[in-house]
Amino acid sequence: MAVATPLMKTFSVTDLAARLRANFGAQILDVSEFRGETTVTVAREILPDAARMLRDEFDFDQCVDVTALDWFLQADNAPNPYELVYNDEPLSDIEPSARFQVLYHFLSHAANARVRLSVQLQSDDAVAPTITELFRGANFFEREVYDLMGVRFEGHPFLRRILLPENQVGHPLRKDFPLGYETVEFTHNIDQIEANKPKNVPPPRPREAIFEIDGDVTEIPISNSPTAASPDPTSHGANFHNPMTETMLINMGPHHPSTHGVLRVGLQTAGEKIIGAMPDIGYLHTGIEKNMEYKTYTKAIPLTDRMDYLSPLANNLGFCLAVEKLMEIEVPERAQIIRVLLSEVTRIASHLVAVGTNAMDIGAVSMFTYAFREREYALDLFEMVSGARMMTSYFRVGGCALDVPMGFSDKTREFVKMMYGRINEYIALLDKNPIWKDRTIGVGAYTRRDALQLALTGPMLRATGVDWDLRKAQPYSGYETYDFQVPYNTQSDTGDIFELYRLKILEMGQSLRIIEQALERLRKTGGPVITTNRKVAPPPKQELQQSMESLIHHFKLWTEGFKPPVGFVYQAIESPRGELGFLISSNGTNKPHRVHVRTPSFANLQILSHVAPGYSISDLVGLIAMTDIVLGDVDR
Amino acid sequence: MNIFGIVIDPAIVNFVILVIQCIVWIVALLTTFAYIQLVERWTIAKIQVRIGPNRTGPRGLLQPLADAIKALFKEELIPSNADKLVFVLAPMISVVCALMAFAVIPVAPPITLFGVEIPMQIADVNVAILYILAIGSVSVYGTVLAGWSSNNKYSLLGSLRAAAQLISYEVTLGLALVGILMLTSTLSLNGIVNFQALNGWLFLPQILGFCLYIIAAIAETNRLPFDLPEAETELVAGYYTEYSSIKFAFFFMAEYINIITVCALATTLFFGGYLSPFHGVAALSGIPILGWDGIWWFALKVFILIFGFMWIRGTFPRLRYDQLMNFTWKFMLPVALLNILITAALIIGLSWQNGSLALR
Repeated sequence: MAVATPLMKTFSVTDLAARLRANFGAQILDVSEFRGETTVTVAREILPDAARMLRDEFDFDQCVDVTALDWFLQADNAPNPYELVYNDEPLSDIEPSARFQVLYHFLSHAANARVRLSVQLQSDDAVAPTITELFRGANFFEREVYDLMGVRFEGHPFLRRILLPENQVGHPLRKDFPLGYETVEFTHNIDQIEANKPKNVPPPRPREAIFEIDGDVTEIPISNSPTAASPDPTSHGANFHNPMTETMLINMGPHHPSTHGVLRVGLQTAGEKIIGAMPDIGYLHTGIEKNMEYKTYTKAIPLTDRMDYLSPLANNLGFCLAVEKLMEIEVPERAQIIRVLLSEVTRIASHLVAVGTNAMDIGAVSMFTYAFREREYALDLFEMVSGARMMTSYFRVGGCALDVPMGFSDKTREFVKMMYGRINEYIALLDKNPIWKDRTIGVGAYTRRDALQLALTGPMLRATGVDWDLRKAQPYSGYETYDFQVPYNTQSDTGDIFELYRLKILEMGQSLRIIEQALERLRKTGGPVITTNRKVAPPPKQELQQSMESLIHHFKLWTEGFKPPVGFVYQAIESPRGELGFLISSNGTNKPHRVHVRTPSFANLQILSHVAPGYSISDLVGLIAMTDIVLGDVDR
Repeated sequence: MNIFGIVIDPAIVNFVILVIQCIVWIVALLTTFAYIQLVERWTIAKIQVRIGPNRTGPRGLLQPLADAIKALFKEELIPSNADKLVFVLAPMISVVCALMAFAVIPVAPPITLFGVEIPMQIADVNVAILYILAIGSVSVYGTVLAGWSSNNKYSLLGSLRAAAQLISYEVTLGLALVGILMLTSTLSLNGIVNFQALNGWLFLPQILGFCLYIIAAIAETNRLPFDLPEAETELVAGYYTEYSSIKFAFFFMAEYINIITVCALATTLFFGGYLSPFHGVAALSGIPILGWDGIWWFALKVFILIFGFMWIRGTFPRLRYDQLMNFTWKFMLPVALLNILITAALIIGLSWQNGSLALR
């Protein structure tokens, strides 16, 4: 791939399918297309080979996501999970033959194409081969699937729970996971609740357990035993068990001023120098994916706000676009313009926090307050359209909840005008500051190869010189009609803290350009802000009094919701942090069968244990700020 | 001595004066600390587009009092695995050293009360500069012991940083003052002020020394951009992470009194101490403000310097540990030596001009 622009190669699905079939024969079980997405179902045994072939021969250089679906007892004969209790006997007699479907999403930057490999697994043999040797970024994804779905990955070097506590019983995203034992205890139901609780729960692992591997050691040895191996495959150079050095183990977080939330990092240091850093996440895991399975599509939108709480509108947009893709809904133009406009305001608000907190972590507290001063302005805009400053839930499937209020355009124009000046102030404050430069240039350097391997997206990928932005490459909501540029590193193929800071500042400028164009269009474009498809969006209020059909639609939508067709789609958008992908699987009912969110923060966090060794604790806080993680986005 | 008709041994009078002086000094210093801190909070708030304390009393003027009361009544926690004796001792060392260092600084020319001439400094030591540097070195113990005795890894890292940083910067701090000694040929602060009364402020001939001194002083007082020992975003609160209540307040006090002390020292050494800027200008000399104009000039100069400290804190990011060390050993130390050379050349050049090798 050239530094300047990705080399556009001709790529066709038929060619890919033919090549795979020629190579693997009957092991390729199926090649299917749905909503323009290619799914290649392969036999479990050849999955790593197929993935290698995709990588080496078709330039699929990034494994953006790994997830799994559970096809346990669909529709009619499904047991009520609220009535299930924990037991050790498998429910295999009522299971479908191939219960789990593990999905691997690959992305080729050169060909601008996506392909999905799928593997079907029996419930009594839910083991898939790992692809961490080919794509190191699959590490976190596979651990997540193991944790939440209970699919084991053979050969994964560090297959441990990632989001849930070590002593969790069961895998909650399975459809037979009992729900409801944690109802509120009263005297009349306490016996029943106690009876339903899982038995023989092992005690929680000790706090120090992050530092060792096999679980039994409760004390941290200062000089660790030489027999143990490096715990994390991605932490190159991280060696928790070097008997030659006297090292100190430091527990950083989850309560620490600069871990940006409840991130916990296990550190092994020699003096101040970090030898190994291991992120420990899950402190903010709220089971959003599981929750969505019990809500109608519209009611799932507020849950998306709570993931990346610094860019709620980007999450709303991703979810709505995915459902729209599944249902093939056209969105009116005015709604698209509003979506683009607010997405860009969100991007600015989010980048302001990123730049501000990065500066604060390095000690420039004033920069933080300046950035937050401007962010308040962006939040005012959110408040104008949605009534909420952070948890907006403004976009709906098919459009937006409401039209923008009066005065919104003027206020936005004011915001844009102000921001141009303020961005220059930030540059004046930081760009020429020798201390800021010393602290950021060259710190946390990672190469393009690392970025692709570790599934980094967004500014973190662009900082390594890859000209890749989903707004340009795979446009949505009409981004292709706007005039803007994608800033990326043109100087080198190494990203560092300074480069990311620089890119975020430039991206804010480009976002302002988009906002200006969107404002202009908003002035010229009228019409509805939500689709006129009455099966998806409710009719306007005045119609209810005149039309019986409208009344029925309204009633059905608010009592039952809409029912997308059977199938699953993956829709990715460029959130401020990178690729935010929603995989929505429908079984034809009014509630999603499975929603999986591929969050950028979760994937981007993998770089931390890779770059941290060799730097000091002072730099680590800068590195955490560089990854620009939001823990709500990481843990979900 | 005869006061109100009673004959008293002058030694006793001197002793009583000294005790009263000590009490006045400490109260004054603590009040200054409290209000300097309030002013700093206002200043930083202004820089950071915040409002700052304005709720307690008129315009927030009673905020320091409220803080003091809060600190006194907070629960005092000692970690169970801490070394209790050292843990309690450490903040005391810090605050006592901070208060002691101020003793030698002349804040005004001597005044006469009830026929007794009272010097406006507690002790006119003839090795005052050495004394201040020595006390500064001892106060490092407070920091180091606090971190060590807390039995907390963040505290330990903070105190390790503090030990390395304070000791390194003391070298530069000391060397930055050598130029002054060469010019004035005295270590007594009174002597230096008197020298400046005759020859003008030492700020101009020692501009390099002044810059070095201020940078080293910021590092000595653990302030941004050199606040590594207590870097909040890295080490939570550094060496005093585990401290609470009045012991925490002691560290806080020590930090701010140290700032006052280094600024007072800078005023004395480089800006003529309590001398009026119009000293020697016949038309303006002898305009009395409340009778003792020396102390007002002194306070004004000190405050301007402290304000500079606040401004720097509101502007700069923090250095990293290795950069800090590189900066002092590879840049400040050579420049300090260069400053000594330049001063020496200046002295020799001046004395040749005067046709005599003896400057004075």
